[in-house]
Amino acid sequence: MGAVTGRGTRAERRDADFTDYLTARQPALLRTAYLLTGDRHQAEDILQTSLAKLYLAWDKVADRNATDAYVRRIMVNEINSLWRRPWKRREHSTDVIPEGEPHPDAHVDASRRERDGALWEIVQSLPPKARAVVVLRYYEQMSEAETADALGISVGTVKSQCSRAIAALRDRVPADLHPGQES
Amino acid sequence: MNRPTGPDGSEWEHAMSDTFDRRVRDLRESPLSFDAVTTTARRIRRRRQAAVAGGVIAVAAAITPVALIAVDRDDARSGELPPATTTPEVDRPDSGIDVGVPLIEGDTLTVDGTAYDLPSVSYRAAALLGDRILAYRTVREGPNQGDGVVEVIEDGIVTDAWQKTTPMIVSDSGQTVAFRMADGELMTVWDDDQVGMGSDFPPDAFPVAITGGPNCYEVADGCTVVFTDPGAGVFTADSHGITDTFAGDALAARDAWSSDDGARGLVTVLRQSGTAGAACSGIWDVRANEYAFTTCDYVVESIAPDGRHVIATDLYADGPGPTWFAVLDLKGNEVARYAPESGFVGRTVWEDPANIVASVFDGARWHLIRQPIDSGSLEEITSSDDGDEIDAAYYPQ
Repeated sequence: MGAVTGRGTRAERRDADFTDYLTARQPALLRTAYLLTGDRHQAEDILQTSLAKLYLAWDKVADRNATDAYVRRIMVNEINSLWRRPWKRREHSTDVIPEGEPHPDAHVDASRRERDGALWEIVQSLPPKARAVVVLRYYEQMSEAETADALGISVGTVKSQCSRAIAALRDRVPADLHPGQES
Repeated sequence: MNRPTGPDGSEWEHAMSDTFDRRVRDLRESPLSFDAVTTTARRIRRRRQAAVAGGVIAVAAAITPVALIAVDRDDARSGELPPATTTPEVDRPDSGIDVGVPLIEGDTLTVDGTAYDLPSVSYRAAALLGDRILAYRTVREGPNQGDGVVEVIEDGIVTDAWQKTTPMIVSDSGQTVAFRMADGELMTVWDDDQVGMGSDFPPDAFPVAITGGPNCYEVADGCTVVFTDPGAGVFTADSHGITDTFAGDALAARDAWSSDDGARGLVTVLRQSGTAGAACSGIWDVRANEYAFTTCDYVVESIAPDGRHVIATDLYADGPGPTWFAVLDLKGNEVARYAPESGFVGRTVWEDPANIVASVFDGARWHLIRQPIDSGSLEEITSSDDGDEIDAAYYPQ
């Protein structure tokens, strides 16, 4: 087998591995990207850039079990970059779920849907880093240490961001929608 | 599952988890194809390469694409990913180290109090140039062991590299770096640009210091690079293509300084001794074309940012390093001295005209200290259990 063939085979194997990862993990990563951005189209853009950067670094990602963490960190960094562009700061999330957005579960009761809406609105109003903390902590179910590592911040910052987020929920979600108050 | 709980607020934590789950429960799509992702990847790679290549097409062939880099995995932290971090202007963690010079500590580069991730712990020189880091390390194992590598680091990932380089030097401003490439070309890099400054130099000569800049194009700021040519002496090469030899008895250059207007220039050198076995050194005044002073009692090292003092160390240091450093004025008079109670001094750099930052090993721990030159009020900036006699915990730049 010649060198050219050998390189081709390795490249093909690499692409096949990446394709397998893309197929298996894209829906889950898109969900995380959506929660991080609050916008379906922005989530796809962020995910596309992040996966492209993963592709470029694919040979360097030695621990395949940590690939999701790697992509999540790229996504967070991309979002931070996005939010620091002046034109992007002028955009505001809306209460209306645009076409193509995932829909809240239709089977939950009305008060829970109402609380979901209020809670989601407050989470979306958090600064990008704080939102990333709560998404990784309470959606991805990462520990404080894992969240800190993923975001490159201290455990203390993770704790304080979570505490502030919860305080915001307590203050801003109507009392009759607080957990445990459902009828 | 590692569902977070807590005595206070755990119901809100559960509520958030449930809300997030419900919010995305129906989002099960895979909108991105392999082709779409790789098309974006090619665009990113072109952008990165364009940023690195700048206008110097002639030297582009020496830049190794990331996919071809033979990564020295043994140098990297075992099992860890290269950290994906942000561009410098985005939200970065505060390093917590209050030091006025760039500092490499393990796999972190601190610049102006902000921490930037490095892909491994093996870098010994690094500079933040615009939105990327250029960092130098040597390959520690394998067939290329001992080779120097200058790597371009973006988002915490090595995106390009120059292989088989001389050690990378960084200007006092931290804005320009220089090194010789494998083909002998003297490469200077700053912000998002670079220019080769010629290759017609002795094959073993290596750059020691760079002044001027930050833009090394002849039509812009221009730079002057000081070389050591082992066994032959010292010389400078500038952006006009002029090389100058000076200090005929010099063996090696240690540092260089120039005034902001470029009118004054100083170079610290090691020089031939008058007596057998004794090494001497001195400060060469470029404009006067003579030594400002010479000494056989010290080895003079780096020059203060204002050009008024110089750090000097132990002439006969043995073992891992000198046990003290001193500060001399430009007449060779000692104005300050620092000696750790035990252990030795690692790297010393000027933080500003009045303060020196040094890494010091006490036999068990590395310390980063600040020594004002006008008083004895030493200040410990931080300390670490990492490192040993060979690999320091701190590399102030």
